[in-house]
Amino acid sequence: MTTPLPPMPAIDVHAIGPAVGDRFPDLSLPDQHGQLLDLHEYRAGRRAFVLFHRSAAW
Amino acid sequence: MCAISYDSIEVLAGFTEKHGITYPLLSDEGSSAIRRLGLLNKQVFEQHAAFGIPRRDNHEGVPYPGIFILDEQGVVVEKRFLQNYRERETAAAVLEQAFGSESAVRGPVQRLSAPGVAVRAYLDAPTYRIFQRRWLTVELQIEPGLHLYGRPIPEGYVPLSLEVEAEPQKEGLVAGEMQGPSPRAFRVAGLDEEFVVYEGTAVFRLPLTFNRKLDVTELSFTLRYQACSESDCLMPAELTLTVPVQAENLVDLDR
Repeated sequence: MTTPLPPMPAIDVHAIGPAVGDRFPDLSLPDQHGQLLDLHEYRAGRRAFVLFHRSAAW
Repeated sequence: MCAISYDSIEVLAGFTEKHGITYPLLSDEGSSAIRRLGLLNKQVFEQHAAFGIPRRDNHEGVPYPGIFILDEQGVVVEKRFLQNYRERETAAAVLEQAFGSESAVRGPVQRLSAPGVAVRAYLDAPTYRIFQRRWLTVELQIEPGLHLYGRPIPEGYVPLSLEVEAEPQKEGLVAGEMQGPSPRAFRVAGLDEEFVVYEGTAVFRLPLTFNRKLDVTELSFTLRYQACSESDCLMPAELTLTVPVQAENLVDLDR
């Protein structure tokens, strides 16, 4: 007999990170080529699609 | 577009080369930005346990996976985070829905002419991977002078509905709630009942999540509606929409 798996925890998906209506905070991080990239500078007044993902390694 | 993870620059450089990535991948090694933005996934071990995945220290520090859409001023206009971390939006769907750009990989369009309505239906892509979220788009061109009922609706009338046909999907395919425009309030002279209606062009989308590989090459959906004018109603209609679909390279399931 196998042990049943625990249930998936509930997540309040609306509470994650900056809220709708808020300016996205300043963010400056190195890219894959080692160049520092400032999100809002990079947008240069354009709309943006900002993706957070778990890992590119596993 | 840019993507952020806790991976090192070296890992992101390798990933970029392997997959031909053309947009910035930002390295938040140590997860300080992820923490500052309130995105740190504190439930990652509980989530993994629910799938029987053993605890590993390098799982600590990951963000909740999801997407922010920013407007020209950098203001968040939409957040797309899902309950199940395994379930993922696709770039094609987000670009279509948030930016109005037609997906380059859009599936074949089925066109139907039905009483009072012309229908176009398509998937944002004709392929799927397990846990990917696809969207069925149904565009209705409602004849001038006619309207379709939405919900809530008084008893005895047929509201617009869209359902995936049960067989052979069952647990392998989960359809979420249909999304669409807000219907307009409507009253018929002489009746106490209150209605909401759709008119003109109305675009609806049904989210579909594939939880396993399906043994099918097409998906069928049932669209029900009743078209009425100010004075008369056509018979309630039931249409079958069929779109092709195919499983793509399947991911490994121990993550």
